[in-house]
Amino acid sequence: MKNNIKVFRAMNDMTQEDLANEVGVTRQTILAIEKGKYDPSLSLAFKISRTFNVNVEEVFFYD
Amino acid sequence: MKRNTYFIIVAGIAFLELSLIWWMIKSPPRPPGKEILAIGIAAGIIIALLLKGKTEDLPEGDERLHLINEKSAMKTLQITWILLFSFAASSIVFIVERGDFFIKHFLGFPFIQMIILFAVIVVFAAFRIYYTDKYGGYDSDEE
Repeated sequence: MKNNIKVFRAMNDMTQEDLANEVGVTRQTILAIEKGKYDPSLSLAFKISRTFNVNVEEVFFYD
Repeated sequence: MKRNTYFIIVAGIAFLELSLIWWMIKSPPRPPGKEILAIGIAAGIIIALLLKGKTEDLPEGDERLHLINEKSAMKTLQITWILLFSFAASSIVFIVERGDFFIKHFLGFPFIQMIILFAVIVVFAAFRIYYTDKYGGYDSDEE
């Protein structure tokens, strides 16, 4: 699974730490998701997309 | 302090405790022996508890960390089962073949249990490091 988290973070001027605090995980988890080393659960994926005010499929997509 | 570092230190403490017990039982009983053993074990437990307080605070709901812990625990359980089974099976063979072999050379079942408990800590730490690496725990970024 791939994602656009980095792009959306840049658009929202957020650091990994900011996003991590927002969704209640560690910065390392956000980094692992961005790098494609860890696929988030559905609920975390929704939390992340909600933080960016977009639909989940705009942030995450199956490649 | 990182969690994995903590588990490695605890494994080291467990090894020292094990060596201490081995030394205590194997060496002829001298007056300070039991006291050293008692102080050593108590000191080891206290150090482990103090270090636990110094480990990093992680968010409760971090699912990646839960996954790492779950997978490490599951693998450790599998390895523990194999270890226990191997010890039990070999004990039965040795007892049938050679009578008191284990009691003479391995100080009986309690000491073997201690060895297994030590092995469990080492195996858990090893799997935790493996899964942390697998799920991007050691990656660094430009931020």
